[in-house]
Amino acid sequence: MSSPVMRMLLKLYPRRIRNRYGDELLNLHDELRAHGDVSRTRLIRDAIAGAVLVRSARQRAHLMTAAVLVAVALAIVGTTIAAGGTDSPAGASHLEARLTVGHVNAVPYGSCFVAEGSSCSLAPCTVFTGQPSTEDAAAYSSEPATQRRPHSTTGRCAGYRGAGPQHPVFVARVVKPAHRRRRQPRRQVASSVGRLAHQAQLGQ
Amino acid sequence: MSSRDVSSGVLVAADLSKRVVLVLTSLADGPKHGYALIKDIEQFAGVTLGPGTLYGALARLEDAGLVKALPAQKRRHPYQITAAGTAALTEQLRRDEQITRVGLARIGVQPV
Repeated sequence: MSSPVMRMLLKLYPRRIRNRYGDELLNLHDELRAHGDVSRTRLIRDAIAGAVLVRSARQRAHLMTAAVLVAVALAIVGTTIAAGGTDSPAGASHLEARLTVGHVNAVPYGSCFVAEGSSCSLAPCTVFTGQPSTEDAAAYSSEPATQRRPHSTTGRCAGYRGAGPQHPVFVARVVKPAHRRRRQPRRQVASSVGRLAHQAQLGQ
Repeated sequence: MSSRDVSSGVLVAADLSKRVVLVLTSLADGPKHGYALIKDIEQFAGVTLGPGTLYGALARLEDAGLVKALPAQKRRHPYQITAAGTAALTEQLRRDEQITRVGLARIGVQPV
C-alpha cells in the first residue's frame, strides 16, 4: 500500500488516536510491507477494521445516546399519530372518511357516525342525531325487519362535515378496536345506519 | 451467524476482547514494539494482527491502564504490561481455562 493511501485511511481514525499512534502505525505498515508479510488488500481491510473498532469503542456512548433520542422521538411521533384524538374536524380530517349513507358498506366496523350539524364530544357515540336524506329512509324501509339491528358503535366522535341539507354527508372516524378488526358485514352495516336514520326521523 | 459478522455488537466485543488477550499475553514475558507483537502473536496463536487492529487494541489497553508505552527506540514505542494488566490477564485466562476444561470434559476429550 502506498503511503498516501495509508495516510488517507489514517484519517478514518479519531484525531487523538492519529496523533498518538499515527506515526507508529505507518511505520509498522511500512515494515510489514517491506518484509512482505501481509498483502496490500489485507492491510487496507485491517486499516478500515481498526478505524471502525476504535471508533465504535470510543464513540459507543455517543452513538447509543443518539440512538435512544431518535427512538424516543419516533415513539412520541408514533403515539401522537396513533392517538389522533381531536374533536375539531380540521384536526381529525386525516383520520376521517367522508361517507354518504348510500355507501355505508365502506364504513369500517366500529366507526362512529356524526351527523351534519350535530355536536361532537369525546363521549361514545351511540345515537344518530342527524336528518337522513330521502334515499336513506328508502334504503332503511327496504331492509327486512330481521336485518334491523341496533347500532352499537362505541367509537369516539372525531368531527363532522356537511354538504348541504339536501345531501347530508356523514363523517366517520376510523376506529378499529384491537379485539375487533374485522369489517362488519355489508348488510348489517346498512341496516344499522338505516335504523339510526329512522330513529333520527322519529326524533329519538 | 458467522464469526465474521460485524453487525452484532456482541460479536464485535468478543472479537475485540480476544485481541486484547492476545496482546496482553504477548506482553506478559516482556516489553515489545508493534512488529514484535505481531510476530509473537502469529507464532503462539496463529493469528496475524494488522497494524490497525493492533493499535486499536493497544489504545484501549493504554486507556484502561493495562499497558504503558516505554520511551521510543528508533521511532518505535515498546509497550509493557502493567500490574493491573497482569491481574486482568490472569483473571481472564483462569476463566477461559475453566470454560475449556468443562467444554472438553462434556465432549469427552481429555485435556492435553
